[in-house]
Amino acid sequence: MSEFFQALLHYQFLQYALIAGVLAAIGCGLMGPYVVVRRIGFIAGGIAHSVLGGMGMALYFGADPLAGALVAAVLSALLIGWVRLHWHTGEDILIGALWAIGMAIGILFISRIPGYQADLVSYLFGNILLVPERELWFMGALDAILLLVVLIWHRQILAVVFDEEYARLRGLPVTFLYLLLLVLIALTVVLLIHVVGLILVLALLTLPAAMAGQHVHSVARMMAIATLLSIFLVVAGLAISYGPNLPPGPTIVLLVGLSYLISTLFSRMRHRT
Amino acid sequence: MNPVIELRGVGFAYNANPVLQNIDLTVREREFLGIVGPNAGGKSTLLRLILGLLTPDLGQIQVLDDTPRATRHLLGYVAQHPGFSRNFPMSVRQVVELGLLGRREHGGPLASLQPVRANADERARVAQALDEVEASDLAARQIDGLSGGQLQRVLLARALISRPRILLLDEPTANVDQRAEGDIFDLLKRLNERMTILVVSHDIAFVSSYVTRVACINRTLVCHPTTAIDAKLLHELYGDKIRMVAHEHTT
Ligand SMILES: Nc1ncnc2c1ncn2[C@@H]1O[C@H](COP(=O)(O)OP(=O)(O)OP(=O)(O)O)[C@@H](O)[C@H]1O
Ligand SMILES: [Mg+2]
Repeated sequence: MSEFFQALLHYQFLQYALIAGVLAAIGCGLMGPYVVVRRIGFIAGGIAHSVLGGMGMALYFGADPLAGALVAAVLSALLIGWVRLHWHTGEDILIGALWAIGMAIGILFISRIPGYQADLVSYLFGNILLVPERELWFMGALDAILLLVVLIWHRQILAVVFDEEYARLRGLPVTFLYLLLLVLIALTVVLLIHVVGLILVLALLTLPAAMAGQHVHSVARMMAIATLLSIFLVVAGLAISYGPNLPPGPTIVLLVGLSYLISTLFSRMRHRT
Repeated sequence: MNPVIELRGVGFAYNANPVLQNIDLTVREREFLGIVGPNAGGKSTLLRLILGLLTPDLGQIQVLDDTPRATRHLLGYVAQHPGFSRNFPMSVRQVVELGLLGRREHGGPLASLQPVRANADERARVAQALDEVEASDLAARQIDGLSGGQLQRVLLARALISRPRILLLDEPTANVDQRAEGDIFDLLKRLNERMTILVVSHDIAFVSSYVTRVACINRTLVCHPTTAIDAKLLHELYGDKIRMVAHEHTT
């Protein structure tokens, strides 16, 4: 571990990795509690997998894969939200379809690009050690947007997440707020892909918030705790993986998963006594 | 004076399953209307039509001289089944506070997107609403641990905090013991001095001593002044079911 903190002073890629980890942790700390209390982890998963389709296409047509990811994430968030609000059923099937189609499109396009197979693995499992500076700025900007929206509209979003029908009756623009929430989650998913990868996005988006929910009892507090917890876990995961040269993404998620188990045990023990 | 709620020839079906047919109903300012009828008679559906959550297939609905959608922020509503999960991490105070959000009496839909900050005025209104339903002691509790009757009071406070002109309650005493049921109806009677109230109930005998008029719904609607509720009417409305109730009374 101390090895990592010494290396941190010397290697820029490690500094970038650390910043990327912290920025991603802030994003999932802010959005995770909404995902957890509204139980839309599956939606986040659907969005995450549709992202691969967008990235594959962007790569194939020579565009920026991050732009492709953003477009795909936002489009699938809007589609899922629209179906959810207007059809009232079939949402889970649609998410499953986006999930499968997104993956398939992504892999098909990427398979047509010579030499990109390696990149596919890094999109699936993340490669925090290769984050370029430009994307740090990008992640910072996304975090700023998330923070701004939460600061301005937390209560309105909370009202929709808590009791959608009542929010509608109060005259709140429920469709706008719900789609806004899904788009923000989509942005967060894109942000997280660089750190822990597509496969592991769900864990980082849900588990720290769920842990926070075991110990505090308001969504705002869950955000604060989940953010701090995520920052700590991402940095610790990075540090642990550095010495033995483990892939950081899976290390981080394993750490998150273990913390979740321990937290669950603690909260059960506390409730029993 | 214009009626506050007016339904003319309203018909509604879920898919092809007709639930309400040819409903005419006029509610005047400060009326206290009891809505009774058998299970699946369409009582909840009627309230949801008045709130603009459902749109009638036939006929017209006017609420406060406008469409239900345009005026629903002026109504207070306590649903039969709450639209949230009980283990949502939220305190009673927060739930009631969220009732303050939304459109004001004057102000477009976008006004509800203005950022809101907790302030003294708001805290006072939350305290007042909880006090009115005699639930002040619950303010700091999580909604998770409330009893059915406690939750009903909290939801009533959430409906009252926006100072509605009409209050719609769908079986507000379903989970409540008899004494508390009396308390809640006494409270409604007091509220009735400043707002119109529509309350759905199973217990026709009980509500008739509080309300000014009873509407009986079983797909179609028949309205009666409370004095006219007699065995013949009950039999028409509930058919065979009522005999069991009558039997209970004789023993
Ligand atoms: N969302 C829905 N989709 C399809 N059918 C519905 C829906 N909601 C209600 N119904 C049907 O409409 C009919 C009337 O239902 P409603 O809830 O209005 O009855 P109710 O008088 O409130 O009954 P209860 O006393 O049980 O609350 C019932 O036959 C019910 O099955
Ligand atoms: Mg009902």
